[in-house]
Amino acid sequence: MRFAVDTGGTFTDLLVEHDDGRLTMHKAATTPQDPIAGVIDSLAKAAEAEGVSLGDLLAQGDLFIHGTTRAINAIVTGATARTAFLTTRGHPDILVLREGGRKDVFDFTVPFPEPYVPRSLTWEADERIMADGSVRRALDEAALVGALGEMKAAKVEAVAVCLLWSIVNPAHELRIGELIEAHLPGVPYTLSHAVNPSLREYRRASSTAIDASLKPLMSAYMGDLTARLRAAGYAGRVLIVTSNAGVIDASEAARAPIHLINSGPAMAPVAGRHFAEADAAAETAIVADTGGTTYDLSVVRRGGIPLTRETWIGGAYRGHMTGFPSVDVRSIGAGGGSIAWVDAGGLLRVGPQSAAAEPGPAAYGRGGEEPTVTDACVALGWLDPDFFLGGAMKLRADLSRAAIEARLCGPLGLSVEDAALAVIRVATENMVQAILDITVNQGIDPREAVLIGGGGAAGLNSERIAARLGCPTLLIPDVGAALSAAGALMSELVFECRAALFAQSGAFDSAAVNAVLDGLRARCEAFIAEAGEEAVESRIAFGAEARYPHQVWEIDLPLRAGAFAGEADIRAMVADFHAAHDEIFAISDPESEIEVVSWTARASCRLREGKLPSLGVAAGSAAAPVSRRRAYFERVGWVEAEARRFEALPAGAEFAGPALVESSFTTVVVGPGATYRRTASGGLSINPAKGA
Amino acid sequence: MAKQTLDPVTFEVLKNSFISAVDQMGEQVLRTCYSFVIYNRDFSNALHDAEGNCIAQGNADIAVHVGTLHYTCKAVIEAFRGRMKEGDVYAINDPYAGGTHFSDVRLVRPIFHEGRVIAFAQANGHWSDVGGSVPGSFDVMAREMFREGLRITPVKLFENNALIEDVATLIAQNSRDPASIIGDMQAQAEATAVCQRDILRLVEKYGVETVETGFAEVQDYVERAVRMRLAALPDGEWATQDFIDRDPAGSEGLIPIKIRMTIKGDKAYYDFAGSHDVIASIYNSAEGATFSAVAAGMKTFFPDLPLNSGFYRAFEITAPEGSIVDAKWPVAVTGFLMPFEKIMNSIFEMWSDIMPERAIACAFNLEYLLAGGQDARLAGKPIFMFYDWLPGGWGGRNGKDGSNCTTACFGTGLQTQPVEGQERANPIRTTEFQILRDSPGPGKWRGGAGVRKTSILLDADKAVLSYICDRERAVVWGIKGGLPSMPHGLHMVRAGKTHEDWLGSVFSDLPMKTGDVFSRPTAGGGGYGDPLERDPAAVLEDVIDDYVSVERAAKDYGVVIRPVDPEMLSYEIDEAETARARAAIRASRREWAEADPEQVAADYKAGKIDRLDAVRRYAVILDWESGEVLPKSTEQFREMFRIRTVAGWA
Repeated sequence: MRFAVDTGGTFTDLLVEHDDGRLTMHKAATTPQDPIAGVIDSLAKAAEAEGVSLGDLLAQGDLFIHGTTRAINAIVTGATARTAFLTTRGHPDILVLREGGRKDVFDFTVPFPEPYVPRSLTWEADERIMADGSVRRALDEAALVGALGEMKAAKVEAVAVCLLWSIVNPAHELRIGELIEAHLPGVPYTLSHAVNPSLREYRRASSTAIDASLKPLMSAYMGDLTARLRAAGYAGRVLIVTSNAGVIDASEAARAPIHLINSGPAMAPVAGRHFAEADAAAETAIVADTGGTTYDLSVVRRGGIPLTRETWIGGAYRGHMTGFPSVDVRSIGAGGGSIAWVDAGGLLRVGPQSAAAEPGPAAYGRGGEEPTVTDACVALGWLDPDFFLGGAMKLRADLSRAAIEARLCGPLGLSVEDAALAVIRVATENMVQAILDITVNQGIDPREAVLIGGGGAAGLNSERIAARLGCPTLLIPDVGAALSAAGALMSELVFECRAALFAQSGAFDSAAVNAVLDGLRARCEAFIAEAGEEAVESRIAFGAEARYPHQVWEIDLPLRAGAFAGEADIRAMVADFHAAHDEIFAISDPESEIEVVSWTARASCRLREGKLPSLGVAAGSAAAPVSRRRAYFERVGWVEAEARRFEALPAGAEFAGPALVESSFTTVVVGPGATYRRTASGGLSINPAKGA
Repeated sequence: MAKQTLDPVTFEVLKNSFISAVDQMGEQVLRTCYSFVIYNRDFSNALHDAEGNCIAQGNADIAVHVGTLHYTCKAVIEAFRGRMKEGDVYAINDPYAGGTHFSDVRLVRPIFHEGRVIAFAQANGHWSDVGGSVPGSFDVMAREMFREGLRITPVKLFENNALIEDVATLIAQNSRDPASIIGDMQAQAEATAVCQRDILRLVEKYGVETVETGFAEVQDYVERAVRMRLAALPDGEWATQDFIDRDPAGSEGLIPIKIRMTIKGDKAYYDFAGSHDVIASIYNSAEGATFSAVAAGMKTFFPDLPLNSGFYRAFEITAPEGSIVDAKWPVAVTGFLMPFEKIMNSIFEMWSDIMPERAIACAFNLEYLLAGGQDARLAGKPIFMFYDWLPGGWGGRNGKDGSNCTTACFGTGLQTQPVEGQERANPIRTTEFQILRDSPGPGKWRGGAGVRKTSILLDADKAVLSYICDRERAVVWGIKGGLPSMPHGLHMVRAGKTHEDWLGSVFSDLPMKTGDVFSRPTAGGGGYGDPLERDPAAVLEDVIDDYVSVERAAKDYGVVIRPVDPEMLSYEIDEAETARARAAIRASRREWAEADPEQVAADYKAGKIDRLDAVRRYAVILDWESGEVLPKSTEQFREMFRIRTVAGWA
């Protein structure tokens, strides 16, 4: 039995894959003070549903896979360790100066970002290594021991060490590590060349500082999680979701917590990839996870999940760069709770402010007076006030209408229904623009991609988004409301490593490159031998970060093999680079040499055979009763739309919109002109209206 | 300005789509460019209507290109009217036709629909070299454009989407870096194709009429919004001046740029009457760049509005012909950024009166270093080109300290280069790159901090150094009682020597030898408000964070701080001494600001006072190397010090 638990902002989602092939979904409230309690609660709910004790349920488990926002929350709320930053003399402000850049170039009211580690906790080491690895100035150990003494007096809880050029010659960082162990015993530390061997000191320093600052907390969390699961009766393996869409053992995660920054959202595209293949035979998908306040986007491209090298915590230029690849998940402030308002110029805007959980949309009746996307859906008759979240919460349609009337109708000169439709159109457009940003940057034409809607609010306007983008198919998986947890069940054990070595195709030192690749391979093989025991299949993929020699930006280039046997192999790599560059940017420079900046290897171990089962809610028959509800749509106005229960739909049969398809977790709005059917995996497949 | 006819939602959709189409161009350029200057965000992109008016400009574009792209688009239209074909792309870099300087090369693609031009996409980037007499095309000794670089008047560069090889080669071979030039041409042209694709998709969806209506109405929307806000302000007149340090061909004395702004009804007028004639250096600005400075300065007070020609229709400019803000061919203009930043800061100052909640003092001046020579670390001693620019401090704000370590106001989104990247590519070792203590201009809200970067030249042959900066004499100023920051200039310690030579803020082609150490401090921002009114606790905090020294805390703020355990960053305020020091400063400071400059110079030469004392306390401008008084510069500096600083003291 396998468990996948994703701790989100509001709910802790659990999917259980039973040994008899069933899949079940359970939700518990997230408990921010002690998130592990929420995890245990979700497991208790599953035990209750199965009619067994928690201990008996857990005793059957062999894999427990967990996505957690614990690391990112600690950073955002300033709950990380008191961390010292130690760097080369003369360069104490690496974390202050960063790489410059600014988001709002004309708005100087935006504050200058605070460094990740304050200047008062920064120390400088007397040492210098040069670009070629030579030692210009030997490490002054006596002075360093003095600095460690000051750190002790300053009650430092973790140390981040980033020296210039340690990626070429790590001797000084390694020695500092030994001195820390001797003089600050028990204080965790991170060495930059070990955690992120990449050129450009700010990125590496930032990775190092973030990693060190998370160590005390995350190692406690991992220890606590494992101990409490064991205490509750679980004896299997505990795996944690990483930012790069893989999983690693909890003990490993505690050693390099930087990899957990995007744990959670990183799994949505893994699930998206599965459903795109299973239900639409598609290799390219846009995965949109719609919650109450944020709209998280990622893509699947040719069956792969693109990673970005630049990941920021707290926004580009305003926050801190992790310096690590991460699944390219972008968030915009848009969701069911987004507030609609009219600006000074008379324009309708939606978001980014959200009514959040409190007071929530006006329809919640908790004092919210500002109209939200959810209110618009209520006013349009799309949401059934009596069957929201399966009837768990009653909605007040009168309050939704009143809020729209009070705030929007007057300034816009529209009726309540048309104002509500306008809110949906603008919200849809914001989401469409965000999708265009992420797809076009990856060279993906949305007209050739499947849109996957996950999250509780996905059904409200996903059909319209798909129509606007020209996506041929929209999929709402049956486990869509727990998309990340579903992804976790399908994920693979992943280990990634990299090494810096410049190489130009015109003067290619195959021996040196092969030595680097051999080193990477050995590390991958060691990982597979140790962690991948239970793997169904293991493999190692090599890559290069390459560019044209005059370019500044590198692209990731998969290598055909992990060694260069001769000229032909080099020529093949160059040809692959030109093709990849042409594919991403529509241009290439076939006459030019290429330059590789660093080399990467990724070991992955597949942990399952076969597909993810469906939730297994029995399909209904075409004869199942259909109710009708008044709903308002663009161009056609009020109509009696069919309202169907998700589980009552027979598999395969095609139906036409307008319709409202409801489950206990979500409502899917299918507009006029669109068609829909239940897929073999139990989800909903929709062909959007043309020309919307 | 017609009334809006599109429904609000279609309008919003189109407006965002236009901006998104332009931002996609930027993303494409960023990822494919060859020039590292472009990579560090010295680029801009725009979508234009069929007349060349700007519909949308990139959100993260460099400020200095704002308000210039429609000029170059119109110049292209003028040159090729009636002869444009689908698949054509044109190039232009002509500063006398509204461009900025020769390095900023713009590629313009007409977007056709059913055989008719409906729009233009323009991608503009700073190429690494466009010829001229020095690497990087910044020859500060140039008087005319012929030494500066290749002037590209509108020329067809692509036909049927293919590069016209002979023309491209002609342009590229006039550069020191031909391979990069060809790469950037391709990158920029393809970016305009990305925009074209997006616009044609919109046409397919909404119809050409609606999209063209959208082109006009998004401009009208911005114009209406700016005019409404201007109309809501009381009519009035504001005037100020700022200075360039000197005219190399003239005698000592600051070079004034004067601006009088009038707000009348729903429009703003800027008059540069009284500004100095063009000077014998590259620090001149042509009409387009001056327009851009006004637009960028004003935009700072309307940060929420999108940029397009609607914004530009809400103000007008008049400038005396042939003045430093209206340079004509063939006057050298590569250093137009210097007048540009003066104009921008002047506009900050005037608008600070109008919108006190956004008030801000002067920002540090752009500095740009260009070193070149042969890299003797490597076999064959290849050429190296080390170009660098630094962040510095921005002015103190009403209610907030200035922004630290931000790039100069001509391009606040610019990135700074990693030391490791530079050391790999150049025979340079950087020994220091950190915040510069005492650089912030003191004030109730102090300026942001500048930095100091110190580097040593390693094994190199035939190395030369050029430096382009200003405000060595027209020092970064405070407002509302705030104090100036510091004179800007580069220091050098020659190999084997110990004396620090002050080389000032502008020089060209200075020979350098292995082991020479050059150090560049950037100024902090000017202070806002009376420094004697700064909360002593905030001064203490600055001492702990090492932005301000204990000495200057006493001199500039009258806050006396005693070290308790400096190792552990423990300090405390001496309240009684602080009260006494503040009273003493208050009693004397008006007198200090009128002190005999010769006496100040004597004290400076005797080492009794330093540069910061000279400008902050005595408002005296010296030749910082010799210590001699610069009488005219001092008089001009003091004239503004009285208005900006002394008048702000209670």
